[in-house]
Amino acid sequence: MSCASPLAWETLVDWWAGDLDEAAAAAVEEHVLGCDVCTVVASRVASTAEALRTMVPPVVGAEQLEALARAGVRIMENPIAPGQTCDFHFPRNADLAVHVLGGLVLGAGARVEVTLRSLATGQVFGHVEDAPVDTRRGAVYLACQRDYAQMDHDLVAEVRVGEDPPAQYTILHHF
Amino acid sequence: MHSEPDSAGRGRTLRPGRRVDAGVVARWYRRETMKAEASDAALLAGIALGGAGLREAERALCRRYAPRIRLYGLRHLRDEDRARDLVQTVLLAVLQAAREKRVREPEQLARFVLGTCRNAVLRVRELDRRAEPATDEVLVAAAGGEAPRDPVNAAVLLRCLGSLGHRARRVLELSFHEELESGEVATRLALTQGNVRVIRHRALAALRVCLDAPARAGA
Repeated sequence: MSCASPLAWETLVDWWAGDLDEAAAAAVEEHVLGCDVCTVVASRVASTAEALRTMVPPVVGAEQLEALARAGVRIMENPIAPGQTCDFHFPRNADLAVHVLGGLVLGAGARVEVTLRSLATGQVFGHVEDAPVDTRRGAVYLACQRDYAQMDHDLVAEVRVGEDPPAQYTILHHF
Repeated sequence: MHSEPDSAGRGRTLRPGRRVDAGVVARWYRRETMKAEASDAALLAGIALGGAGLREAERALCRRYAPRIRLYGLRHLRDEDRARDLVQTVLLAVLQAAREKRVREPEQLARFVLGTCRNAVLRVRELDRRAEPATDEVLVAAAGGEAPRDPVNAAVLLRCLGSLGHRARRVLELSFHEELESGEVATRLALTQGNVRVIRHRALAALRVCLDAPARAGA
């Protein structure tokens, strides 16, 4: 395989993101349809972007959960109270587990930060600065996927509402 | 009468009165060479010629174009299943055109395929329904076998996203997860549109490298 004038990665990213004008996008598409080399590179852009588009972030909003359920994703909820330590066995008949970190007082417009740490080492797995919340239930939804089995199973989720001290939830996963 | 080599390189005789480009046929019947290297024009000629080599030429054309059409479908339909349906629909239309010698510029087959892709995507959008799946074994094999999925492990993706800087991660999330245009991303993050594009392509490249890293196996 060879290509006399390979398309730049930047161009392919712009194309995939929809940032090229019509003529430029058409030129990219005609080139890619006629070129194995650029199809391979464009496929790498595509698979990376698609992984991002379809990912379930660690903290999800109620609307996104509803959309996932409508799409046929089998979701199991696991309510946890602040300060609680929970042994959680990932159910075989679920695609996604959602830890419902409840007991939060969420005023309108409250800024909520979520930090996920390893229970054993304290290493931060993830941090969400402006997390989506369910004000009706007073909860934050922490999405847990079967793929996470390869990560540290035991974690502490800290949820800070405004300037209040963080509420802590300890989850011991069993996959 | 023309003489053409068979798959073993031996000559054989064609029916009288059939117009055949000897050079194309010679390339065509070296099947192993044809699979990987035959030009689009040679494949189209082989399909138009029909006969014993028809299916092999069609398979070669499908193998070549299926991944490219799938990519076009993913880009415009944002759905793997629909992209696979598009592969079948477009390949069927292209093969029919090739059999009926309706591809006017064989050297510009990519342009013909692009036009067919555009029309098919427009139809899918207008009708908002799936294309009828083909039953032709060549098309089904091309759509399924040549369209490798590249599932990304959620834990690896999370780890790799975590390895990026906060701004780069936000640009990727807003661009590809929330599907905002670069102008909107720029407004949200108080950046210029040019900055967003630079950060985006660099961050996506870094993410790809991380996802491909050997550490993936033991992540």
